[in-house]
Amino acid sequence: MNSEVVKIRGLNKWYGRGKARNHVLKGVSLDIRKGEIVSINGTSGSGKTTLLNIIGGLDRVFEGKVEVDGRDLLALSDRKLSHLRNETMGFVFQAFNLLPHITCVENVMVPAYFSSRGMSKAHQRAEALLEMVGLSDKTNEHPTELSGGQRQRVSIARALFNRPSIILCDEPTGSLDQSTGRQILSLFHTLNEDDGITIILVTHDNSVSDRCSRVIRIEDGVIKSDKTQELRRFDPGEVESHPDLT
Amino acid sequence: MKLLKLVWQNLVRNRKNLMFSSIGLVVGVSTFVFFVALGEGVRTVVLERIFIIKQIEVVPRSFDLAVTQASVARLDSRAVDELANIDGVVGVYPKMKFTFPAWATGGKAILGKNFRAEVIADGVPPEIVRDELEFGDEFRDWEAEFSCEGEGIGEVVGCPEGRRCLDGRCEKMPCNPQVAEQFNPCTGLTYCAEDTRMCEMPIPAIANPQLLAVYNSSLTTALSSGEGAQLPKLTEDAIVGFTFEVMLGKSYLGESAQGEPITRRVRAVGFSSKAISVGFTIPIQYVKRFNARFTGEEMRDEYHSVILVARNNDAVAGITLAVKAAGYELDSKHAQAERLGLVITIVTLIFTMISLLIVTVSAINIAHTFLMIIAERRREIGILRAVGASRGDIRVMILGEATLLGLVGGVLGITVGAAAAALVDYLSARYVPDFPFKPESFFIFDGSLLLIALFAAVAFCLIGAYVPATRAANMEPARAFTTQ
Repeated sequence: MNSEVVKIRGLNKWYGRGKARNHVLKGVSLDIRKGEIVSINGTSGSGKTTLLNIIGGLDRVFEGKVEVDGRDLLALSDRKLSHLRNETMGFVFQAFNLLPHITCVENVMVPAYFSSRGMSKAHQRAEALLEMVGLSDKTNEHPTELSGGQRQRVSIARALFNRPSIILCDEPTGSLDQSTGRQILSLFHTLNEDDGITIILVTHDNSVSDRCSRVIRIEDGVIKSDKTQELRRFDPGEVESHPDLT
Repeated sequence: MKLLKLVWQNLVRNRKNLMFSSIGLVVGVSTFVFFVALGEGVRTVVLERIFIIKQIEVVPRSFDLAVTQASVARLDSRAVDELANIDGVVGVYPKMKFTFPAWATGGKAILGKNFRAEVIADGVPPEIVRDELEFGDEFRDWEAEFSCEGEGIGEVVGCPEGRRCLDGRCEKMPCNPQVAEQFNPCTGLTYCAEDTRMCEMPIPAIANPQLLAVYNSSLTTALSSGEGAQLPKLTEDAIVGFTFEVMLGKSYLGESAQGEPITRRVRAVGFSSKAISVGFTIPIQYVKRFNARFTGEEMRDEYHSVILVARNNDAVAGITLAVKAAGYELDSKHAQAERLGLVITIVTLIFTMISLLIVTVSAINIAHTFLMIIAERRREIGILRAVGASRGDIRVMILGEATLLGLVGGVLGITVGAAAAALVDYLSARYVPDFPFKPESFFIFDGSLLLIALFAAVAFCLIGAYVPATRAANMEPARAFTTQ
């Protein structure tokens, strides 16, 4: 039986104050097990990104209990929470969120600056990750010189740097065309299959949800449905093959 | 240390903004360094060359009696011992002035013509200036007894020139002042004195460098006007060895109360700041004898002033109090020196405050620049937080940038300040006419001054960047991605 990597009980979140106070998440409770590829669906303003930010420890203003990897996020100090993010989680954003003033390999290495491990092998690891995502020839280029799909792959490589057990993705294919989006999803499938990484995706795209093992639907801050489904991996012909992706 | 690379990258990336905001820092640091170095340089010249404040001249307390001044306490040997025991005093040397009229003639060898002038002279113990003089051994009492061995004349038997060894004592050689020098037994520097008819060593004399400075800067101009040859500027080397005749006991002003006037030859042997400012200084033993001869035996033990050497400038205040408590006074030069030193300190302080004000304004400017930069870097800070940077890491990064900025600004400021000082020295050397004690450089750059300037630059940058750094550290990562 897979253990829970995320455990949420009675999560409530408000934005604003007084009359402008908006109840964004209303008593959300759920568990996410190790090895799942979970899609959190919902329309704009449903609270899905807020939920993702709270799971990732990027937002600490909430009520309720959220445990990641067995640790209560509200009970952790900022330093310990940051360490947890660094060692256990990886983030992939819709806008890629790469640092434009440094090269791709330096972007991938950024988590190393805040890790308790030394920097001696960081460059080597970063190069290996770029190779893994099929960008070995883009090591010394800046993100501004890459396509959207390539930037997202650099972002994934960065998310994998410290060998996380969870990857949190906010609309990872939102800025990409369909073909590139399928490549990214295929990469996630590979990471999940090969390394057992738990992947939590926020998306409003049903075609993305269809490729996950579990779909949680949120509407107006409340979980409307939570379905487990068969994980449909991509057939070789469905994804334009990249020579470095195996 | 890991973050240093990120810090440096960010500094280089934002260099234009930071450069403009650090102009004030550079100006402030350079102003601070410039004026403090200037103040220290001027203080050194004033207090260690013009007024030597570590040397306190004690004089007998006096009071006005309508038409004259009367002294209350004598400065004799007992008084000298009392002053030597004051805490903080590391050296004591009594001075004794001529108490009789005298005048000097000579000067043709170095000035081109002979001059005649009233003599102002005093005496100091030879041991206190001997180490300062190139020919220190010559500044001594040649009338003292010298022992010797064997029979003969001069250095061969351990006697000074013009003396022979008789029964273990060096005796002056008799001579005839009426005959030419080559027929007299007076060898070397000795000459045949008319009154004693003996080979006499010239009285060794030293002068004060101040006198030479005044001569070169003022007297040459004043005395060279009109017809006749210009007076040459002189160096210390040119004057050493110069001899002139001194009539003791008589001058234009009159004759001494007792004793026949005598003529002696005087020879310059060097320069010392302990010599009298105007006139010349000879070994005190000569002055004691002459004062006793021309004024009375009691004058042999009456000093006119005593110079106390303080351990350091800080000891001066305590010594001053002790001197006054003992019933003596300080020479007026000392009070002048103290006032002048105070003026210099106050002026330096004012300019230091101005420069600190400039740096403070610069710190405000830097704060504003950092706030602006952090606003632009919201998303970047959010990314760093997402990949594991803690609040402390973000704060350290921002403050690290401020520290590097402070170091760069501080070094630039010091460089600009030093360059400005070098320019002032160059312009002074080239365009400002010579004046007494004109220094080669008006500035003293102490290592501690440079360290303080660098520290201040870094400190003010950190102060300016503290609020922006805290704001960046407290930024919620989630909000950083939602707000642009």
